Amino acid sequence: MTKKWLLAASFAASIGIAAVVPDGDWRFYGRDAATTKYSPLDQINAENVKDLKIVWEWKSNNFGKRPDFNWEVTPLAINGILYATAGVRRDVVAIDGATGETLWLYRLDEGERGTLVARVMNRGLAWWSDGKGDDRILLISPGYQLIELDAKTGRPRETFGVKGIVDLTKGLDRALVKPGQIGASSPAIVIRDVVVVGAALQSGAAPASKENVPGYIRGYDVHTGHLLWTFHTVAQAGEFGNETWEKDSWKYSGNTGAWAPLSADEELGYVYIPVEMPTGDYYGGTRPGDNLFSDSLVCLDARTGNRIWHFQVVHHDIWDMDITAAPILADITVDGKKIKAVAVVTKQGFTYVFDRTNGKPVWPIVERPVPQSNVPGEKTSSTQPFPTKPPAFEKQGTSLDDALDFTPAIKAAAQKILSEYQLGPLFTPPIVVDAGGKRGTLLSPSHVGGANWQGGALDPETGMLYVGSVGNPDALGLAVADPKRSDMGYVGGRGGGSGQNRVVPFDQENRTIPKVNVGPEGLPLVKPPWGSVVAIDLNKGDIAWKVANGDTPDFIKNHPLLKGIDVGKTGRPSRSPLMVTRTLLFSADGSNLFNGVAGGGGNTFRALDKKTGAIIHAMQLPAMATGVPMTYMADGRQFIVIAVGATGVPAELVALALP
Amino acid sequence: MRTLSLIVALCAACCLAATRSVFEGVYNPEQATRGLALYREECAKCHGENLAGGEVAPALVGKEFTSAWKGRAVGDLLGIIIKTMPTDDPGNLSRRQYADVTAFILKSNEYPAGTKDLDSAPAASKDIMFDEKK
Repeated sequence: MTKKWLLAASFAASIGIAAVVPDGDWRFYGRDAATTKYSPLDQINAENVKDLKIVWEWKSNNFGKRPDFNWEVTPLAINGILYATAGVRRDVVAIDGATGETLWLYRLDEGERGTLVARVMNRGLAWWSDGKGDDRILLISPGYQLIELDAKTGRPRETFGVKGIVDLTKGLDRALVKPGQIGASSPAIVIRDVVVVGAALQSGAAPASKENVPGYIRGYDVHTGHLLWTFHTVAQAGEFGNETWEKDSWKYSGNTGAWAPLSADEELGYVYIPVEMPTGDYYGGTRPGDNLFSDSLVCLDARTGNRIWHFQVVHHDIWDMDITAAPILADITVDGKKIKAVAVVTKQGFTYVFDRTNGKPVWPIVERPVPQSNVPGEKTSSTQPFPTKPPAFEKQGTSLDDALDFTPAIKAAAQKILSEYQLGPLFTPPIVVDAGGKRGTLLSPSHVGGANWQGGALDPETGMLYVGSVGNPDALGLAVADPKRSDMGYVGGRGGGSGQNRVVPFDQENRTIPKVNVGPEGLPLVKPPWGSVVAIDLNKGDIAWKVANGDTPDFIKNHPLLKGIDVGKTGRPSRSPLMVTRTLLFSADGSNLFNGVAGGGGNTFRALDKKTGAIIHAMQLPAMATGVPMTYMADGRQFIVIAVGATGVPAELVALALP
Repeated sequence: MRTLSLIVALCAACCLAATRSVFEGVYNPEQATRGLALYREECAKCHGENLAGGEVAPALVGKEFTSAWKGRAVGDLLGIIIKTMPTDDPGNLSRRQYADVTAFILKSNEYPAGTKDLDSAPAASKDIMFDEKK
């Protein structure tokens, strides 16, 4: 055995969670089943990253009746071939990773079912292989059908379901599931020959009804498409947690899907499900109780669907605090003890870390009293769980001290605006608009703040978890529901839950739609940073570093009130998609087109120093990064591919490589 | 001076006469039906199937909508929709589609239908006011 081989073997053992994926491949949404978004490739390094250039672009303009502008895809790469969804129809394409040439295309005409969809955006595909050349691609269509394709030809596998298709709207305990009620925005995950499928439903800011379709988790046989099991995310009669849906609300409540990507441990045979909130984003009077398994991290046996453990991170959610990110599996060492861990980053800025074999928190997570709602019919949980470690990666709660303070006059004006809102700590409940003379409850992080589906990236060599976060607050206000339009009692009002936001003009430079409750004269309301990249040491439970994500937006830098004032580097209020390699951490201005705020977005792609967050290289992409970047080898060359797009700029894949 | 006053008075009378109400049947029901199909395809993902608003999009029905548009013109609404929607690709639906979806929004707010289509040019409905029911 050579020394080099020994080193390689020891390294593979140390990153056991990622070791099943060959170095040059990106086989799952997050490269591996653990969703680390870590690649051991090192051809692109700190010395040569400055030479990166765009080597090909793959444009999606004509995939769909109109172009897609917000492509959240991360392609898969297997043996140098990329597989991606394309366009608003979610066609599937195979692309030569070295050249960008289209190799095959699969298109399914779903008719009305594919036109009226719960969620247009999507993040990609799943892949399965028997290891002997039988390779398959799994798509969840816009109309919520599971389709298995031959990876070599793109043709449906006739032996799977009905001519390659399984109807996912069946088996959801509802007599009728209408087109557009349920779908998926993230891919399935295949573990131990079981295709595990989540669900995404329409926004629940102002739902038409307390009754909705439940987003159950299902497991299907990868060979036949037969349904193997169903996990009821709304606990049914006789099941564990049913009592947490008081007044029989389990009978009609829905949502509670898992719209973020899923993760799995091949060795344990477990799948880790990030479950979202139930029906009614801001009012829970129609579903009293803790509502299991909403807002829970659920660990299931992939073969049986049996619940191994779960942890509910928000009881009776009325803040839209879905678990939005794929759980990340990490093998860590805490106080000398090796732990197979799973970490999940959230909108509220917490990192919840568990022993993934049994669900025991690695550091205590304690129940603490929280403010209570006074909205009629609402009954909030008296306590909520707070992790004691790691510290929150985003500022939590709102107070007058948060006011933007670039000058005394700006501070005074910002405090005046802040005082118009109900302020308070994390978990301060939404109020009815104008109650007590307040416009709404100002939340930080907001329902589109903290971490979201871009999630984090883990370096398994160091146990460092990197996460992109947004710190801009947003307002929530409730309005009495018009009975002709909703039986909810209360719904998000004046901006669909965003309170009385002030609107500033279009920011043409960034092609985003500014909309957030801005402060004085169109400035942000609170102190920066408004967007950050944070490194969390999972072995210690500490934050190693935090840097602003990007520069100060131009409309702030050039603001007349700030003439002659150096405001430093504030970061853009957008969430960086992250990827980590053996050599570098990659970030982007990034965002999500529809949650963009003033100064969000931007076209910059960056390579950061993993130890410090310092920028080693920055380059411009043709548009904003809309997906999480990935990397792979083709023809002996390391490529980085990222989906980009913006308002008015149709989506495309951009491939970067060294000359 | 008298002539000038007369002209001003006449102009004011013309303007008053030219002003229409959103309650006067300013769209065709078939147009609103076309608008519904388009709404479901292009708008519902953010504004909700019931037009009640979403996480980051305002409601297009009810008090929230009518109080925001009180005293303003249907042509202004159409113009803003053309200029800003859909948010990822503003201005790139056909003018007829924009008028159809505006008609659907009017119908959803229970403004009565008439016999003629709402014109696809915003200028043609600048005189149709969101006012109180007479």
